[in-house]
Amino acid sequence: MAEGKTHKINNKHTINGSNKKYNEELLKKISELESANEEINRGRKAALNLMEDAILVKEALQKSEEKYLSLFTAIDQGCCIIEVLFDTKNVAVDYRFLEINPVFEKQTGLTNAVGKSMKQLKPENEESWFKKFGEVAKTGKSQRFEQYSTQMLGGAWFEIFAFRIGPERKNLVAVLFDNITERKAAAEAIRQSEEQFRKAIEQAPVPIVIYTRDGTILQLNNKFTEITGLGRHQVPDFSTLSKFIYGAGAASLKNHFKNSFWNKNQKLNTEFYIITARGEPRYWHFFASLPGTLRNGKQLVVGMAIDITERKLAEEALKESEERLRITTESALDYSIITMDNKRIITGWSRGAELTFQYTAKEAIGKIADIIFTDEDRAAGAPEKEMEAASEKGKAEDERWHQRKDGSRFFMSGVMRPIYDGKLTGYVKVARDMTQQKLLDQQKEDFIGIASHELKTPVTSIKAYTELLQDMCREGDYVSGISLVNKLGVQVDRLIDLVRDLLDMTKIAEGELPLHLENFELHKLIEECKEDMQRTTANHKIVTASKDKINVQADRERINQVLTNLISNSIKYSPKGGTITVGYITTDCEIQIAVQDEGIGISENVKAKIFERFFRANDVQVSTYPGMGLGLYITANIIHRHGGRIWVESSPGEGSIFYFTIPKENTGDLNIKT
Amino acid sequence: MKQRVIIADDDPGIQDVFQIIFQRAGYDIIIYPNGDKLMENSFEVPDVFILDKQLSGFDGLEVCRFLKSQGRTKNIPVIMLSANPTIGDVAKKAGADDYLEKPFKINDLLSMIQKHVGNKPGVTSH
Repeated sequence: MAEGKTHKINNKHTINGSNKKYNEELLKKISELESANEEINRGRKAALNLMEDAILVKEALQKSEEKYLSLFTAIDQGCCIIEVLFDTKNVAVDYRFLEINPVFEKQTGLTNAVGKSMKQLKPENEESWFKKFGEVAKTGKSQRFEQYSTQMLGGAWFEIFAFRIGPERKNLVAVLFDNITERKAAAEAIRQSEEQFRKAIEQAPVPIVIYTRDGTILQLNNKFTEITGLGRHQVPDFSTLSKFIYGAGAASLKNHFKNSFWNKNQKLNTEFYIITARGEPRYWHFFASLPGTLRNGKQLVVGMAIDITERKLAEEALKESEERLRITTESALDYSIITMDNKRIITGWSRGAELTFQYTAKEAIGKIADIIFTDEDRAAGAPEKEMEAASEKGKAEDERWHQRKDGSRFFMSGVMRPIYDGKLTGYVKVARDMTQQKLLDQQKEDFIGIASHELKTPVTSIKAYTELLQDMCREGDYVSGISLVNKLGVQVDRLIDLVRDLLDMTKIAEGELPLHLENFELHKLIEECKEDMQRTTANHKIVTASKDKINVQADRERINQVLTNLISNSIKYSPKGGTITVGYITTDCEIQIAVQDEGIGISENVKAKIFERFFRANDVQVSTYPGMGLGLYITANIIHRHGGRIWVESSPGEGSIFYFTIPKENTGDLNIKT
Repeated sequence: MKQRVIIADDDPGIQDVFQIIFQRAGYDIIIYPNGDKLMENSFEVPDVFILDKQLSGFDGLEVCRFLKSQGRTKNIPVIMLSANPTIGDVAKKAGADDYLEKPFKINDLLSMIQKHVGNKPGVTSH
């Protein structure tokens, strides 16, 4: 083609005016040509560009095709592109292999598949294959599935991923597949071994629970359910199971979900009680294995228990009886219970022994038991003889003097027996301190003597008065008679009081002194009592210090008894006379009454015993005072039965004040307004 | 002249009744509440002593022994009274001439006194 060079036309060659017009037209044509040239050039450039682009695109396409091909070739998954074939009813009936990758043959065992259809290659191929691929081709939805093929490689498992490629009408499906036969077999083997493991656990002769770190229970075996009556549906997780568990080991069981067990591979070894569904407690020794890890990464524990309920019950029973024995020996303070080995070295020393012999248990244990014998008895070989007698005859009794730590002696009666634990291991000696017993016996004897004397005294008077009265009546001397009858009455009252005190004492000894509560005016009772008691003495002046009118709720007769006892004691123990004052005050919760005298007073060691039964003031300097020793004992009991308190303030020579309280029954104002 | 009785008993009730009994029986009586005065020998010798075994301070038996040891009273009859039925031997050992258990019949006491006072030689005449 012309190069399109421009020619310069020499404007000097103008002929005439007609050449001018020709030149103008020529010029026009030339410029038109020039522009046409430019366009051609532009077009050419564009075409070149296009061509360059086309080459680039082709190169890119080639590259990606190469990539695709290399992928297609390189993957170890089987890959193929199939065209799904449909029948007239639009049912997928076959598919044709269009492209296959190198691994395809190995994975499927199909050779020369390209261009052929499945039915051609394997006529027996299952329908399900066609159906699945047909679905992918029709719906465009990719599918991933595992399927067994009877036709490939004589039977194999495949994992398939199928997706549609290209436009819908082309029915092209790309299939990625893996021959997973081995994997499946391996999985089956694992499954079978897991199953065997599970069976073994199920049938194990001990309770087993398998659980994971998050507390889920995977398995409770038969024995577990048999013993507890609980199955997995009742106890799906550890926190539910914990509700059935208690006892010392329960805490460590709950704590074992903390990190240290799981991370540091510690073992768990504990004991606890588990309550069965029937409400029966069983005692288990529980071991938990080191955690193992499941396929899914979860940590797994196998916990195994040994049911030791019977042993535990036996242990508890033994402990309980030991405890009872210990309490018994400790509380038997009158008895010394001493255990020793077969060389008479002390191994046990009860509280009673501590009190009796003055050695503490710490001091006594380890020493030879001969220390409780007197020096003479020891010299005479008494301890050995006793031991021999005990082991030969099974029992040795003795009553002899014993020696305390400070050397003082006292009388004791004891029994020594051998202890066998298969063979002779030692001896136990149980001894009773006779001194206390003797004292008590003496006290009782004394009391009986005193009581009968006290009773017989007024009876003597009563009898004499009745005889005198008989005489006087016969003589007709009634005036003297009246005075005698009054004196007789006083003695009879005295006797009544004595008998009542004796009866009260027995009631107290049996447990309960009966009280009949009533509301009464205390100030009136005190006034009456004061007047009655005043009549019995000329040497003493009895006064009341308080004038308030107060109501109390108590047993009127018994409170009268208390006041009478305290005032008569005041009289008795103020031989030089003086004033006896009765006063009372009210506090928030009680009424406090006091009886004060100016008598001989009470020393400290007497104060401690003053409310005891049979106790009678017996100071050496002072003569023995009459009385059975029951008055204050009964008085104290009456006050205590009312819920009150009684105490004394006194010093020798300074008189005494006896206080007692009666609780107010209600919180209301008990003071009566006039 | 009335016969004189010294009685030692600590019980006021018994003291009262003895007063009446012996006055009616025609005796002069002195009643001591305890043995103090007797142990001090500060009394006039009576015709008979009546001692309760149970006395405050000196025991009745002690007083009896004492009286029997003193020249001026050793021949004066002592009758011991007691609520204790076993009084007999103990009383005799202490030197008592007789004993009587409480409670007693008035007549028994009076006749016992008569028996002992009537028998003794050198007795203060009526």
